[in-house]
Amino acid sequence: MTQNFQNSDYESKSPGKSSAEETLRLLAELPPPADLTDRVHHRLAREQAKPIRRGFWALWLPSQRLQFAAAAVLVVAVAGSTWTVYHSHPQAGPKAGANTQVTPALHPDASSGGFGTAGAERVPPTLNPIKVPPAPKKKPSASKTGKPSPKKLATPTAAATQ
Amino acid sequence: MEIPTTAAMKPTDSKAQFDPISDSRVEDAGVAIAALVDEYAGTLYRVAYSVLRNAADAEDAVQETYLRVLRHRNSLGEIRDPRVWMVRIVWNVVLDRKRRAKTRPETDDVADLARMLPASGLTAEERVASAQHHEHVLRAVAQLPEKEQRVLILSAFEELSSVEIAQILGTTESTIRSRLFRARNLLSNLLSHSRSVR
Repeated sequence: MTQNFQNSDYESKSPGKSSAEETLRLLAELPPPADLTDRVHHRLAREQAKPIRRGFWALWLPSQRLQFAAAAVLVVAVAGSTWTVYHSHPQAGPKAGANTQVTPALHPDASSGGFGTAGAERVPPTLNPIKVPPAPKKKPSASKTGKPSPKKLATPTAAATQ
Repeated sequence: MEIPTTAAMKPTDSKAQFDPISDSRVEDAGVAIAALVDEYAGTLYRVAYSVLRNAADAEDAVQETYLRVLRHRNSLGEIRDPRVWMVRIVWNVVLDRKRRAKTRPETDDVADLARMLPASGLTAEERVASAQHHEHVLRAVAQLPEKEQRVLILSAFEELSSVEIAQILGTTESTIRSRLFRARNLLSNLLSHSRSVR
């Protein structure tokens, strides 16, 4: 049994114990109300008579440990599916060494009306650009009648000048 | 005091913990808590009253303490010293209430409290002088730092040892002793200062 304060020699030498602490001791010894225990018993009986509330989880998982385990499984499942979805898609950035097509950046004032890259088109790196063959140049035929070009009219021929 | 141990209050095996609480176990725990009420309600009330200094608030604190015990009825068998455990609960309840009441203006009820303290065998003049002395002491205690004040209040309970006070306040016995020494020094200085002013 531990030594009590009042029996200790240490405390008996302390200042102010005899007069001041006597007041606190008197305060600590004030008797409780006579029917305190009855009222506490009554309150506890009322509290125990209340039906035990059981939540939705308790219907099929009565133990708190099971509920915690189920919640943990749900969290792991959500985290795992999120990770899977994120890593299954190809990354947007170009891979090193890959044949990529660089989209030229448009000048801000060129076509977007000052909205930066609002008019830019993203070309997926996986998409092969369609190469359109250049249109064949047609040589102007002699039989073709048309208006002479203004250039020809402006430059006089050598015969005319002579 | 030994808590009346029943089959339901003994530590259960892991398999039994997954079973829902049966009605018989609830009844057994109710019997144990009723025994705790008969044994410690008075002590808890006095502890609560020494801090709150209001009969209704102290009784509310005691009831709340037993409601908390009721919530932990399944682990009552694991409690080594129910008296210290319950005093610790009521102490926390009381401090929580006092903290919440700080927002309200405190009533100056020290003089009323000083008149309530027993003064048997004294003449009328001596009673008045005794009440004044108690009032001065209570006002001086109220001026102490919080930690010292708490130790001093709990040390006034003869049934609580220094080790038990340390358990209640969640600290070591040496800390309790040093705080008590400091509290007594400060209280002595405050009282001598008030005497010199008078």
